[in-house]
Amino acid sequence: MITTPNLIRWSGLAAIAAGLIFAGIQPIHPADVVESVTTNLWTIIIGLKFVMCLFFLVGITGIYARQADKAGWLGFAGFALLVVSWWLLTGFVFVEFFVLPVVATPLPGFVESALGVANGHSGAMDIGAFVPAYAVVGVCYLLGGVLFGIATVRAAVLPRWPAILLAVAAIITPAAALLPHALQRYAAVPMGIALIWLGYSLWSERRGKVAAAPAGRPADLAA
Amino acid sequence: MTITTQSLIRWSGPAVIIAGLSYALVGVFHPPNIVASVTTPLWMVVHVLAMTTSIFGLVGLSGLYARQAEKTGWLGLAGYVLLSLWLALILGFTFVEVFILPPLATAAPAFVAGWLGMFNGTSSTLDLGSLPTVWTITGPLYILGGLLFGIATFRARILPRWAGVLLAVGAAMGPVAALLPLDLQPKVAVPVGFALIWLGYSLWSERRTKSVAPATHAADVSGLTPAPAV
Repeated sequence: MITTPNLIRWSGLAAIAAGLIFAGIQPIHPADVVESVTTNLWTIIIGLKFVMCLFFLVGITGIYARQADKAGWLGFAGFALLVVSWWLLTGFVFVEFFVLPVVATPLPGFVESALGVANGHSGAMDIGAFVPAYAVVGVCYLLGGVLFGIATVRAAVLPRWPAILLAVAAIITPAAALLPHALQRYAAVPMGIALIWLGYSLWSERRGKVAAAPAGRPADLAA
Repeated sequence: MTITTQSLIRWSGPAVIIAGLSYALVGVFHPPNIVASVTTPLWMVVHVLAMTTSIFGLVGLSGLYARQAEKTGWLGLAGYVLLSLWLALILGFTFVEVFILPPLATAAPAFVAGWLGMFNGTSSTLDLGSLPTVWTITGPLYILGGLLFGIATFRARILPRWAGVLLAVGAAMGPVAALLPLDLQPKVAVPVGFALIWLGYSLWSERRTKSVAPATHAADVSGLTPAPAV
């Protein structure tokens, strides 16, 4: 039956799916170079990333809604920043998926510059606000992750360890920039695991606890 | 103030209002889809507004749906999922229009012309891969999503029924755009924008006693003071 607590519970599955994709694709992600974007592996991996972004948005909304009354403004701020980060990231992934393969042959310079936001090598072509927009993704990802993780620990509704992992994973992401690009990717793995863990706890909360809540207004229940 | 599930749902009302307002404005001010438009300030403003529609729409629609989820059943869920997918794809297209087309207008006018051809019906000299297909898919997502969500809202009798009707009719009018001259086509967004503003406002302004009542988890209720009857 579709009730608010059940919707929140189901969103746990979305968080699990997002986390699995996020952690799972890193070891097989093709290199961010022009030659990659026309390969089948690129299509598969980037397609999965697009799905991941959508699942993340649904999942994080559920994780936040479950603990909103305890997570306070800190939780809200973390949630809002994470939504902005992943919503913008969805745009970048859309470009990687639909646009880059199409323009790889006629406009390799553009593809090189566009991939530069991810691999850190600025390309020859000026691509305007694309680069600063990616910085916004990064800042919101970092700040959002830290705030949301702390708020989740303090709310004590969901387990604290995945929340700590979430905050730590967000913090170490910029530190990963010191590593070679191929290794940087692995900063996503703890974040993915944190999402899977939080999603699983949301999904597996004892039904008695969640379903016991009278989720409708009195008027609805009467009808 | 404590943030409860009810106040979250209520606060998603302003998000729906912003989504509706920005969508209506996009409809009114959208410049013609020609290469010369993409470097104008109006192009930038309108497409940033369209991105605004997508983020506030995604968040707000979740609240709009959550408010009436129990009453709208699978019809409401289907409408919600289809509209959310539409908003996510629209984000992708507008993202390209904000961040990619302007810098490419000089460097690669053929790509920009090909891209705009998806909307104005001219054929592209450049193979755009699956993009035109995806753009075509956004049509049924929007029409079916709006229709189902509007009908579900009408049947649920929680939010104003006529706003639901306006959403359903406005979305169903989507294909009419194809019959209009190019510069009038975006105007078909306006009724849907108004429907969203209406729904968002009613979500926001519902009498607190009505919306504050139950819906929290049993364990959380202990800390909740019953709202006084107004």
